Amino acid sequence: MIQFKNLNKDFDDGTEALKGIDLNLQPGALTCIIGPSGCGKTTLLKHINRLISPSEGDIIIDGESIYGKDVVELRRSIGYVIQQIGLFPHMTIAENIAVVPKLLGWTKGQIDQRVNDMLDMVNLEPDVFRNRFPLELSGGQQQRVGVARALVGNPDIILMDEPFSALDPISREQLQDQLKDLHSQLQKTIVFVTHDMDEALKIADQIVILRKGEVEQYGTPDEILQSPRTEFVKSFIGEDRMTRYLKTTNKTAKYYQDWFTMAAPSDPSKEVQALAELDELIHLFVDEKFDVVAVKENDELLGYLTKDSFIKALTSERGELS
Amino acid sequence: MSWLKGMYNGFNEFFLTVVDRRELIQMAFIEHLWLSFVSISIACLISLPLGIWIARAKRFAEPMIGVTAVLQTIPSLALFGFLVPLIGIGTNTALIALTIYALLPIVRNTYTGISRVSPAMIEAASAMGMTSRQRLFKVEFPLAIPFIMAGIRTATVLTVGVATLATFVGAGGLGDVIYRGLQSYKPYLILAGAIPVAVLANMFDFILKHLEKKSTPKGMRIK
Repeated sequence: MIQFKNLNKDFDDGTEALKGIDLNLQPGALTCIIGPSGCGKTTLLKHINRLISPSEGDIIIDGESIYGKDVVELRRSIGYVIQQIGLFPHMTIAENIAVVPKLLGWTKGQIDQRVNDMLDMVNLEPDVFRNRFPLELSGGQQQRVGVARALVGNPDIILMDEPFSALDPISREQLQDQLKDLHSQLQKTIVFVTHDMDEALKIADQIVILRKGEVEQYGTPDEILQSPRTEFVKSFIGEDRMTRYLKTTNKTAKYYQDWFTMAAPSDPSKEVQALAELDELIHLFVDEKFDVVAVKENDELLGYLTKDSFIKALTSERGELS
Repeated sequence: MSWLKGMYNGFNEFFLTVVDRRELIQMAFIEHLWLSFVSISIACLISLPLGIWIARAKRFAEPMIGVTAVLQTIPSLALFGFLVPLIGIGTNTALIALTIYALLPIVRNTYTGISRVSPAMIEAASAMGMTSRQRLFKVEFPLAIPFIMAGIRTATVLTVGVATLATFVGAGGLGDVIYRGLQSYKPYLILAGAIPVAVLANMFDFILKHLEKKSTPKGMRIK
Protein backbone atom coordinates (compact mmCIF):
# COMPACT_ATOMS: atom_id res chain seq x y z
CA MET A 1 0.00 0.00 0.00
CA ILE A 2 2.78 2.41 0.89
CA GLN A 3 5.70 1.82 -1.37
CA PHE A 4 9.06 3.56 -1.11
CA LYS A 5 11.03 3.53 -4.31
CA ASN A 6 14.74 4.24 -4.11
CA LEU A 7 14.10 7.08 -1.69
CA ASN A 8 17.12 9.28 -1.00
CA LYS A 9 17.33 12.32 1.18
CA ASP A 10 20.37 14.55 1.54
CA PHE A 11 19.97 17.47 3.89
CA ASP A 12 21.44 20.86 3.06
CA ASP A 13 24.24 20.35 5.57
CA GLY A 14 25.35 17.29 3.63
CA THR A 15 23.99 14.54 5.88
CA GLU A 16 22.66 11.63 3.90
CA ALA A 17 19.57 10.91 5.97
CA LEU A 18 18.13 8.22 3.71
CA LYS A 19 20.00 6.08 1.24
CA GLY A 20 18.02 4.21 -1.37
CA ILE A 21 15.07 3.07 0.71
CA ASP A 22 13.05 0.40 -1.09
CA LEU A 23 10.17 -0.83 0.99
CA ASN A 24 6.68 -2.12 0.54
CA LEU A 25 4.56 -1.62 3.64
CA GLN A 26 1.64 -4.01 4.02
CA PRO A 27 -1.85 -2.55 3.91
CA GLY A 28 -3.68 -2.79 7.22
CA ALA A 29 -0.53 -3.62 9.14
CA LEU A 30 0.99 -1.75 12.05
CA THR A 31 4.56 -1.23 10.92
CA CYS A 32 7.16 0.03 13.37
CA ILE A 33 10.17 1.89 12.08
CA ILE A 34 12.93 1.56 14.61
CA GLY A 35 16.59 2.38 14.88
CA PRO A 36 19.10 4.36 16.92
CA SER A 37 18.78 8.13 16.97
CA GLY A 38 19.88 9.75 13.75
CA CYS A 39 19.07 6.66 11.68
CA GLY A 40 16.50 8.54 9.62
CA LYS A 41 13.32 6.97 10.99
CA THR A 42 11.46 10.24 11.56
CA THR A 43 12.75 11.59 8.27
CA LEU A 44 11.36 8.54 6.51
CA LEU A 45 7.99 8.96 8.23
CA LYS A 46 7.72 12.64 7.36
CA HIS A 47 8.21 11.81 3.70
CA ILE A 48 4.87 10.00 3.69
CA ASN A 49 2.82 13.16 4.33
CA ARG A 50 5.33 15.30 2.49
CA LEU A 51 6.50 17.31 5.47
CA ILE A 52 9.92 16.51 4.00
CA SER A 53 10.66 16.25 0.29
CA PRO A 54 13.04 13.60 -1.00
CA SER A 55 16.21 14.36 -2.92
CA GLU A 56 15.45 11.42 -5.17
CA GLY A 57 12.95 8.61 -5.45
CA ASP A 58 9.22 8.20 -5.16
CA ILE A 59 6.51 7.11 -2.76
CA ILE A 60 3.48 5.29 -4.10
CA ILE A 61 0.26 5.04 -2.13
CA ASP A 62 -2.49 2.87 -3.63
CA GLY A 63 -0.72 2.83 -6.95
CA GLU A 64 -0.37 6.59 -7.22
CA SER A 65 2.69 8.71 -6.64
CA ILE A 66 2.10 11.09 -3.73
CA TYR A 67 3.99 13.76 -5.61
CA GLY A 68 1.26 13.85 -8.22
CA LYS A 69 -1.38 14.69 -5.61
CA ASP A 70 -2.33 18.00 -4.02
CA VAL A 71 -0.31 18.20 -0.82
CA VAL A 72 -3.18 19.58 1.28
CA GLU A 73 -5.55 16.84 0.10
CA LEU A 74 -2.91 14.22 0.77
CA ARG A 75 -2.34 15.42 4.33
CA ARG A 76 -6.04 15.55 5.11
CA SER A 77 -6.26 11.89 4.13
CA ILE A 78 -3.44 10.84 6.46
CA GLY A 79 -3.64 10.95 10.27
CA TYR A 80 -0.62 12.23 12.12
CA VAL A 81 0.36 11.94 15.78
CA ILE A 82 3.54 13.52 17.12
CA GLN A 83 5.60 13.12 20.26
CA GLN A 84 5.01 16.69 21.44
CA ILE A 85 1.27 15.96 21.02
CA GLY A 86 0.75 19.37 19.40
CA LEU A 87 -2.80 20.05 20.54
CA PHE A 88 -3.79 23.69 20.02
CA PRO A 89 -3.97 25.28 23.49
CA HIS A 90 -6.51 27.92 22.47
CA MET A 91 -9.07 25.34 21.33
CA THR A 92 -11.18 23.01 23.46
CA ILE A 93 -10.73 19.27 23.16
CA ALA A 94 -13.78 19.08 20.87
CA GLU A 95 -12.47 21.90 18.69
CA ASN A 96 -9.07 20.26 18.49
CA ILE A 97 -10.58 17.03 17.26
CA ALA A 98 -12.88 18.89 14.89
CA VAL A 99 -10.10 20.68 13.00
CA VAL A 100 -9.89 18.25 10.11
CA PRO A 101 -13.67 17.70 9.76
CA LYS A 102 -14.08 21.47 9.62
CA LEU A 103 -11.43 21.71 6.94
CA LEU A 104 -13.27 18.98 5.08
CA GLY A 105 -16.49 20.96 5.37
CA TRP A 106 -18.65 18.58 7.41
CA THR A 107 -21.89 19.86 8.94
CA LYS A 108 -22.02 20.80 12.62
CA GLY A 109 -24.22 17.82 13.50
CA GLN A 110 -21.89 15.39 11.78
CA ILE A 111 -18.89 16.91 13.52
CA ASP A 112 -20.45 16.81 17.00
CA GLN A 113 -21.45 13.19 16.61
CA ARG A 114 -18.07 12.19 15.27
CA VAL A 115 -16.19 14.03 18.03
CA ASN A 116 -18.22 12.16 20.66
CA ASP A 117 -17.56 8.86 18.93
CA MET A 118 -13.86 9.56 18.78
CA LEU A 119 -13.68 10.48 22.46
CA ASP A 120 -15.51 7.27 23.32
CA MET A 121 -13.11 5.34 21.15
CA VAL A 122 -10.06 6.59 23.07
CA ASN A 123 -11.84 6.07 26.42
CA LEU A 124 -12.41 9.69 27.33
CA GLU A 125 -15.92 10.51 28.56
CA PRO A 126 -17.29 13.01 25.99
CA ASP A 127 -19.42 14.92 28.52
CA VAL A 128 -16.44 15.43 30.77
CA PHE A 129 -13.77 16.22 28.22
CA ARG A 130 -15.43 17.96 25.26
CA ASN A 131 -15.23 21.47 26.64
CA ARG A 132 -11.97 21.21 28.51
CA PHE A 133 -8.74 22.72 27.28
CA PRO A 134 -5.59 20.72 26.52
CA LEU A 135 -3.64 22.25 29.43
CA GLU A 136 -6.24 20.89 31.85
CA LEU A 137 -5.46 17.31 30.80
CA SER A 138 -2.64 14.97 31.79
CA GLY A 139 -0.05 13.99 29.21
CA GLY A 140 -1.65 10.60 28.66
CA GLN A 141 -5.11 12.12 28.20
CA GLN A 142 -3.71 14.72 25.82
CA GLN A 143 -2.12 12.08 23.65
CA ARG A 144 -5.42 10.15 23.58
CA VAL A 145 -6.94 13.29 22.16
CA GLY A 146 -3.99 13.40 19.75
CA VAL A 147 -4.87 9.89 18.58
CA ALA A 148 -8.57 10.78 18.31
CA ARG A 149 -7.66 13.83 16.24
CA ALA A 150 -5.62 11.68 13.88
CA LEU A 151 -8.43 9.15 13.44
CA VAL A 152 -11.32 11.56 13.10
CA GLY A 153 -11.27 11.99 9.33
CA ASN A 154 -11.29 8.20 8.96
CA PRO A 155 -7.95 8.15 7.14
CA ASP A 156 -6.63 4.90 5.71
CA ILE A 157 -3.14 5.70 6.88
CA ILE A 158 -1.98 6.96 10.27
CA LEU A 159 1.54 8.14 10.94
CA MET A 160 2.82 8.20 14.50
CA ASP A 161 6.13 9.77 15.41
CA GLU A 162 7.25 8.43 18.81
CA PRO A 163 3.80 9.26 20.16
CA PHE A 164 4.18 7.65 23.57
CA SER A 165 7.82 8.25 24.39
CA ALA A 166 7.24 11.43 26.41
CA LEU A 167 4.63 9.79 28.61
CA ASP A 168 5.06 8.16 32.00
CA PRO A 169 5.49 4.34 31.87
CA ILE A 170 1.95 3.57 33.03
CA SER A 171 0.20 5.82 30.51
CA ARG A 172 2.56 4.50 27.86
CA GLU A 173 1.60 0.89 28.55
CA GLN A 174 -2.10 1.79 28.54
CA LEU A 175 -1.87 3.70 25.30
CA GLN A 176 0.10 0.90 23.65
CA ASP A 177 -2.60 -1.59 24.63
CA GLN A 178 -5.31 0.74 23.41
CA LEU A 179 -3.55 1.36 20.14
CA LYS A 180 -3.24 -2.37 19.60
CA ASP A 181 -6.98 -2.80 20.26
CA LEU A 182 -7.87 0.10 18.01
CA HIS A 183 -5.70 -1.29 15.27
CA SER A 184 -7.27 -4.71 15.39
CA GLN A 185 -10.74 -3.08 15.32
CA LEU A 186 -10.08 -0.59 12.55
CA GLN A 187 -7.45 -2.35 10.46
CA LYS A 188 -5.80 0.90 9.41
CA THR A 189 -2.33 1.05 7.97
CA ILE A 190 -0.28 2.50 10.79
CA VAL A 191 3.33 3.57 10.49
CA PHE A 192 4.81 3.98 13.93
CA VAL A 193 8.25 5.40 14.63
CA THR A 194 9.89 4.44 17.91
CA HIS A 195 13.32 3.96 19.42
CA ASP A 196 11.99 1.52 22.00
CA MET A 197 12.44 -2.10 20.95
CA ASP A 198 10.06 -3.40 23.62
CA GLU A 199 7.37 -1.08 22.30
CA ALA A 200 7.97 -2.26 18.75
CA LEU A 201 7.90 -5.94 19.71
CA LYS A 202 4.72 -5.39 21.68
CA ILE A 203 2.63 -3.62 19.09
CA ALA A 204 4.10 -4.22 15.64
CA ASP A 205 2.93 -6.54 12.90
CA GLN A 206 5.99 -5.65 10.89
CA ILE A 207 9.25 -4.05 11.95
CA VAL A 208 11.63 -2.03 9.81
CA ILE A 209 15.06 -1.66 11.35
CA LEU A 210 16.95 1.34 10.05
CA ARG A 211 20.58 2.17 10.46
CA LYS A 212 22.30 5.22 9.01
CA GLY A 213 19.54 5.73 6.47
CA GLU A 214 19.46 2.16 5.24
CA VAL A 215 17.11 -0.72 5.92
CA GLU A 216 18.89 -3.38 7.96
CA GLN A 217 15.97 -5.74 8.19
CA TYR A 218 12.26 -5.77 7.46
CA GLY A 219 10.04 -8.50 8.84
CA THR A 220 7.66 -9.64 11.55
CA PRO A 221 8.83 -9.44 15.16
CA ASP A 222 9.19 -13.23 15.20
CA GLU A 223 11.33 -13.29 12.09
CA ILE A 224 13.55 -10.55 13.41
CA LEU A 225 13.96 -12.19 16.80
CA GLN A 226 14.58 -15.64 15.41
CA SER A 227 16.82 -14.77 12.55
CA PRO A 228 18.39 -11.36 12.89
CA ARG A 229 20.01 -10.75 9.55
CA THR A 230 23.02 -8.72 10.62
CA GLU A 231 25.21 -8.30 13.66
CA PHE A 232 23.78 -4.83 14.05
CA VAL A 233 20.23 -6.13 14.30
CA LYS A 234 21.35 -8.72 16.83
CA SER A 235 23.04 -6.15 19.02
CA PHE A 236 20.22 -3.68 18.59
CA ILE A 237 17.68 -6.20 19.82
CA GLY A 238 20.03 -7.38 22.53
CA GLU A 239 20.78 -10.93 23.64
CA ASP A 240 18.58 -10.61 26.73
CA ARG A 241 15.54 -9.54 24.85
CA MET A 242 15.94 -12.32 22.30
CA THR A 243 16.06 -15.09 24.88
CA ARG A 244 13.38 -13.53 27.03
CA TYR A 245 11.10 -13.09 24.06
CA LEU A 246 11.68 -16.56 22.69
CA LYS A 247 10.99 -18.14 26.06
CA THR A 248 7.62 -16.50 26.36
CA THR A 249 6.36 -16.77 22.82
CA ASN A 250 5.93 -19.36 20.16
CA LYS A 251 9.02 -21.50 20.21
CA THR A 252 10.03 -23.39 17.15
CA ALA A 253 12.11 -26.47 16.58
CA LYS A 254 15.09 -24.30 15.75
CA TYR A 255 14.99 -22.77 19.20
CA TYR A 256 16.12 -26.13 20.63
CA GLN A 257 19.18 -26.18 18.39
CA ASP A 258 21.46 -26.49 21.42
CA TRP A 259 19.90 -29.88 22.13
CA PHE A 260 20.29 -31.23 18.61
CA THR A 261 22.63 -34.09 17.91
CA MET A 262 24.26 -34.55 14.54
CA ALA A 263 24.43 -38.30 14.65
CA ALA A 264 21.09 -39.97 14.09
CA PRO A 265 20.69 -42.44 16.97
CA SER A 266 18.01 -44.54 15.34
CA ASP A 267 15.92 -44.29 12.22
CA PRO A 268 14.99 -40.60 11.72
CA SER A 269 11.85 -41.32 9.77
CA LYS A 270 10.21 -37.96 10.46
CA GLU A 271 11.34 -34.57 9.17
CA VAL A 272 10.17 -31.23 10.57
CA GLN A 273 10.85 -27.70 9.43
CA ALA A 274 12.97 -25.38 11.55
CA LEU A 275 9.91 -23.16 12.08
CA ALA A 276 7.71 -25.99 13.34
CA GLU A 277 6.09 -24.96 16.57
CA LEU A 278 6.24 -26.49 20.01
CA ASP A 279 2.75 -27.97 19.72
CA GLU A 280 3.72 -29.83 16.59
CA LEU A 281 6.82 -31.30 18.25
CA ILE A 282 4.83 -32.45 21.25
CA HIS A 283 2.26 -33.98 18.92
CA LEU A 284 4.96 -35.91 17.07
CA PHE A 285 6.70 -37.20 20.17
CA VAL A 286 3.64 -37.95 22.27
CA ASP A 287 0.77 -38.80 19.92
CA GLU A 288 2.72 -40.16 16.97
CA LYS A 289 5.32 -41.80 19.21
CA PHE A 290 8.40 -40.80 17.23
CA ASP A 291 11.65 -41.08 19.18
CA VAL A 292 13.60 -38.72 17.00
CA VAL A 293 12.97 -36.10 14.31
CA ALA A 294 15.27 -34.51 11.76
CA VAL A 295 15.06 -30.72 11.78
CA LYS A 296 15.53 -29.08 8.41
CA GLU A 297 15.79 -25.51 7.29
CA ASN A 298 15.50 -24.91 3.55
CA ASP A 299 16.35 -28.57 2.81
CA GLU A 300 19.47 -28.30 4.89
CA LEU A 301 19.76 -30.63 7.86
CA LEU A 302 20.23 -28.74 11.12
CA GLY A 303 20.41 -31.84 13.27
CA TYR A 304 18.33 -34.44 15.07
CA LEU A 305 16.17 -33.84 18.08
CA THR A 306 15.43 -36.90 20.21
CA LYS A 307 12.48 -37.25 22.52
CA ASP A 308 14.77 -37.53 25.53
CA SER A 309 16.76 -34.39 24.82
CA PHE A 310 13.52 -32.54 24.04
CA ILE A 311 12.13 -33.46 27.45
CA LYS A 312 15.40 -32.43 29.06
CA ALA A 313 15.24 -29.13 27.22
CA LEU A 314 11.72 -28.45 28.44
CA THR A 315 12.64 -29.41 31.99
CA SER A 316 15.70 -27.18 32.10
CA GLU A 317 13.61 -24.34 30.72
CA ARG A 318 11.09 -24.73 33.49
CA GLY A 319 13.91 -24.54 35.98
CA GLU A 320 15.17 -21.32 34.43
CA LEU A 321 11.79 -19.70 34.34
CA SER A 322 10.74 -20.48 37.90
CA MET B 1 -0.34 73.98 59.99
CA SER B 2 0.97 76.38 57.40
CA TRP B 3 1.84 73.57 54.95
CA LEU B 4 -1.76 72.46 55.03
CA LYS B 5 -2.91 75.95 54.25
CA GLY B 6 -0.33 76.18 51.48
CA MET B 7 -1.57 72.97 49.97
CA TYR B 8 -5.13 74.14 50.22
CA ASN B 9 -4.22 77.37 48.46
CA GLY B 10 -2.38 75.42 45.80
CA PHE B 11 -5.37 73.18 45.11
CA ASN B 12 -7.62 76.16 45.12
CA GLU B 13 -5.55 78.03 42.58
CA PHE B 14 -5.19 74.91 40.39
CA PHE B 15 -8.93 74.42 40.52
CA LEU B 16 -9.56 78.04 39.59
CA THR B 17 -7.15 77.73 36.66
CA VAL B 18 -8.93 74.63 35.40
CA VAL B 19 -12.34 76.27 35.68
CA ASP B 20 -11.09 79.43 34.08
CA ARG B 21 -9.51 77.59 31.11
CA ARG B 22 -11.92 74.71 30.90
CA GLU B 23 -12.81 75.29 27.28
CA LEU B 24 -9.17 75.27 26.24
CA ILE B 25 -8.44 72.18 28.31
CA GLN B 26 -11.53 70.37 27.06
CA MET B 27 -10.70 71.01 23.43
CA ALA B 28 -7.05 70.10 23.96
CA PHE B 29 -8.08 66.87 25.68
CA ILE B 30 -10.31 65.85 22.79
CA GLU B 31 -7.63 66.74 20.24
CA HIS B 32 -5.09 64.76 22.22
CA LEU B 33 -7.36 61.74 22.37
CA TRP B 34 -8.06 61.98 18.68
CA LEU B 35 -4.39 62.34 17.69
CA SER B 36 -3.42 59.34 19.80
CA PHE B 37 -6.28 57.18 18.64
CA VAL B 38 -5.86 57.87 14.93
CA SER B 39 -2.10 57.41 14.93
CA ILE B 40 -2.34 54.15 16.88
CA SER B 41 -4.99 52.87 14.49
CA ILE B 42 -2.85 53.69 11.47
CA ALA B 43 0.19 52.16 13.17
CA CYS B 44 -1.79 48.96 13.76
CA LEU B 45 -2.92 48.84 10.16
CA ILE B 46 0.70 49.05 9.03
CA SER B 47 2.41 47.04 11.77
CA LEU B 48 0.18 43.98 11.99
CA PRO B 49 0.54 42.91 8.36
CA LEU B 50 4.21 43.91 8.44
CA GLY B 51 4.84 41.86 11.57
CA ILE B 52 3.03 38.85 10.11
CA TRP B 53 4.91 39.17 6.86
CA ILE B 54 8.36 39.31 8.43
CA ALA B 55 7.46 36.38 10.69
CA ARG B 56 6.97 34.34 7.52
CA ALA B 57 9.78 35.83 5.44
CA LYS B 58 12.40 35.67 8.15
CA ARG B 59 15.21 37.14 6.07
CA PHE B 60 13.37 40.47 6.02
CA ALA B 61 12.79 40.43 9.75
CA GLU B 62 16.12 41.84 10.92
CA PRO B 63 16.25 44.73 8.43
CA MET B 64 12.59 45.64 9.02
CA ILE B 65 12.84 45.65 12.79
CA GLY B 66 16.12 47.52 12.38
CA VAL B 67 14.44 50.26 10.35
CA THR B 68 11.61 50.71 12.85
CA ALA B 69 14.12 50.70 15.69
CA VAL B 70 16.20 53.41 14.03
CA LEU B 71 13.05 55.51 13.50
CA GLN B 72 12.34 55.22 17.17
CA THR B 73 15.78 56.34 18.24
CA ILE B 74 15.21 59.72 16.62
CA PRO B 75 14.39 62.05 19.52
CA SER B 76 10.70 62.79 19.33
CA LEU B 77 11.11 66.53 19.23
CA ALA B 78 13.63 66.18 16.39
CA LEU B 79 11.27 63.91 14.45
CA PHE B 80 8.57 66.58 14.52
CA GLY B 81 11.24 69.07 13.47
CA PHE B 82 12.39 66.96 10.52
CA LEU B 83 8.88 66.61 9.20
CA VAL B 84 8.01 70.32 9.17
CA PRO B 85 10.16 71.27 6.15
CA LEU B 86 8.89 68.16 4.34
CA ILE B 87 5.17 68.30 5.03
CA GLY B 88 4.65 71.64 6.71
CA ILE B 89 2.83 72.15 9.95
CA GLY B 90 -0.55 70.81 10.97
CA THR B 91 -2.36 67.72 12.09
CA ASN B 92 -0.98 65.47 9.34
CA THR B 93 2.58 66.10 10.39
CA ALA B 94 1.73 65.17 13.96
CA LEU B 95 -0.13 62.04 12.87
CA ILE B 96 2.77 60.88 10.71
CA ALA B 97 5.31 61.44 13.46
CA LEU B 98 3.18 59.67 16.06
CA THR B 99 2.49 56.74 13.73
CA ILE B 100 6.20 56.29 13.00
CA TYR B 101 6.80 56.27 16.72
CA ALA B 102 4.21 53.61 17.41
CA LEU B 103 5.42 51.19 14.71
CA LEU B 104 8.28 49.47 16.51
CA PRO B 105 6.52 48.02 19.54
CA ILE B 106 3.68 46.60 17.46
CA VAL B 107 5.84 45.20 14.65
CA ARG B 108 8.28 43.65 17.05
CA ASN B 109 5.65 42.06 19.26
CA THR B 110 3.66 40.75 16.32
CA TYR B 111 6.82 39.24 14.89
CA THR B 112 7.88 37.75 18.22
CA GLY B 113 4.40 36.48 18.99
CA ILE B 114 4.10 34.61 15.73
CA SER B 115 7.69 33.37 15.66
CA ARG B 116 7.48 31.84 19.10
CA VAL B 117 4.51 29.60 18.28
CA SER B 118 6.05 26.19 18.91
CA PRO B 119 7.27 24.22 15.87
CA ALA B 120 5.15 21.29 17.08
CA MET B 121 1.98 23.39 16.60
CA ILE B 122 3.08 24.40 13.13
CA GLU B 123 3.92 20.82 12.22
CA ALA B 124 0.63 19.52 13.57
CA ALA B 125 -1.30 22.21 11.71
CA SER B 126 0.49 21.57 8.42
CA ALA B 127 0.24 17.82 8.75
CA MET B 128 -3.52 18.10 9.27
CA GLY B 129 -3.76 19.70 5.88
CA MET B 130 -4.13 23.38 6.75
CA THR B 131 -3.08 25.75 4.03
CA SER B 132 -0.58 28.35 5.07
CA ARG B 133 -3.40 30.90 5.32
CA GLN B 134 -5.57 28.66 7.50
CA ARG B 135 -2.58 27.98 9.69
CA LEU B 136 -2.01 31.70 10.16
CA PHE B 137 -5.59 32.56 11.09
CA LYS B 138 -6.53 29.44 13.02
CA VAL B 139 -3.31 28.74 14.87
CA GLU B 140 -0.50 31.24 14.67
CA PHE B 141 -2.46 34.46 15.04
CA PRO B 142 -4.68 33.38 17.95
CA LEU B 143 -1.63 32.08 19.79
CA ALA B 144 0.20 35.37 19.20
CA ILE B 145 -2.64 37.64 20.35
CA PRO B 146 -1.41 38.19 23.93
CA PHE B 147 1.94 39.37 22.56
CA ILE B 148 0.39 41.58 19.92
CA MET B 149 -1.92 43.20 22.45
CA ALA B 150 1.02 43.90 24.74
CA GLY B 151 2.76 45.63 21.83
CA ILE B 152 -0.27 47.78 21.12
CA ARG B 153 -0.48 48.72 24.78
CA THR B 154 3.16 49.82 24.91
CA ALA B 155 2.72 51.79 21.71
CA THR B 156 -0.42 53.51 22.98
CA VAL B 157 1.05 54.67 26.28
CA LEU B 158 4.09 55.92 24.39
CA THR B 159 1.97 57.77 21.85
CA VAL B 160 -0.17 59.51 24.46
CA GLY B 161 3.01 60.90 25.98
CA VAL B 162 4.68 61.92 22.76
CA ALA B 163 1.46 63.54 21.47
CA THR B 164 2.12 66.46 23.83
CA LEU B 165 4.72 67.56 21.30
CA ALA B 166 2.09 67.94 18.59
CA THR B 167 1.63 71.48 19.78
CA PHE B 168 4.97 72.44 18.19
CA VAL B 169 3.65 71.65 14.72
CA GLY B 170 0.37 73.36 15.43
CA ALA B 171 -1.68 70.19 15.82
CA GLY B 172 -3.07 71.03 19.23
CA GLY B 173 -3.54 68.54 22.02
CA LEU B 174 -2.77 68.90 25.68
CA GLY B 175 0.70 70.09 24.76
CA ASP B 176 -1.00 73.41 23.92
CA VAL B 177 -2.05 73.86 27.52
CA ILE B 178 1.39 72.94 28.85
CA TYR B 179 3.11 75.22 26.36
CA ARG B 180 0.92 78.15 27.27
CA GLY B 181 1.65 77.56 30.92
CA LEU B 182 5.37 77.52 30.18
CA GLN B 183 5.19 80.69 28.14
CA SER B 184 3.23 82.64 30.71
CA TYR B 185 5.03 81.26 33.78
CA LYS B 186 1.83 79.74 35.16
CA PRO B 187 2.76 76.49 36.85
CA TYR B 188 -0.87 75.60 37.50
CA LEU B 189 -1.67 75.82 33.84
CA ILE B 190 1.26 73.48 33.10
CA LEU B 191 -0.23 71.04 35.58
CA ALA B 192 -3.66 71.45 34.07
CA GLY B 193 -2.16 70.13 30.81
CA ALA B 194 0.20 67.54 32.27
CA ILE B 195 -2.19 65.83 34.67
CA PRO B 196 -4.75 64.93 31.98
CA VAL B 197 -1.91 63.47 29.87
CA ALA B 198 -0.91 61.24 32.76
CA VAL B 199 -4.52 60.31 33.43
CA LEU B 200 -5.09 59.52 29.76
CA ALA B 201 -1.97 57.36 29.53
CA ASN B 202 -2.93 55.42 32.62
CA MET B 203 -6.48 55.03 31.45
CA PHE B 204 -5.36 53.58 28.13
CA ASP B 205 -2.92 51.34 29.93
CA PHE B 206 -5.65 50.07 32.21
CA ILE B 207 -8.19 49.48 29.45
CA LEU B 208 -5.71 47.76 27.17
CA LYS B 209 -4.34 45.61 29.95
CA HIS B 210 -7.87 44.43 30.59
CA LEU B 211 -8.39 43.84 26.88
CA GLU B 212 -5.12 41.96 26.69
CA LYS B 213 -6.31 39.59 29.39
CA LYS B 214 -9.70 39.18 27.78
CA SER B 215 -8.28 38.53 24.34
CA THR B 216 -5.93 35.82 25.60
CA PRO B 217 -7.65 32.61 24.54
CA LYS B 218 -9.25 30.92 27.54
CA GLY B 219 -7.30 27.72 27.12
CA MET B 220 -4.02 29.60 27.41
CA ARG B 221 -4.91 31.31 30.67
CA ILE B 222 -4.75 27.98 32.49
CA LYS B 223 -1.43 27.49 34.14
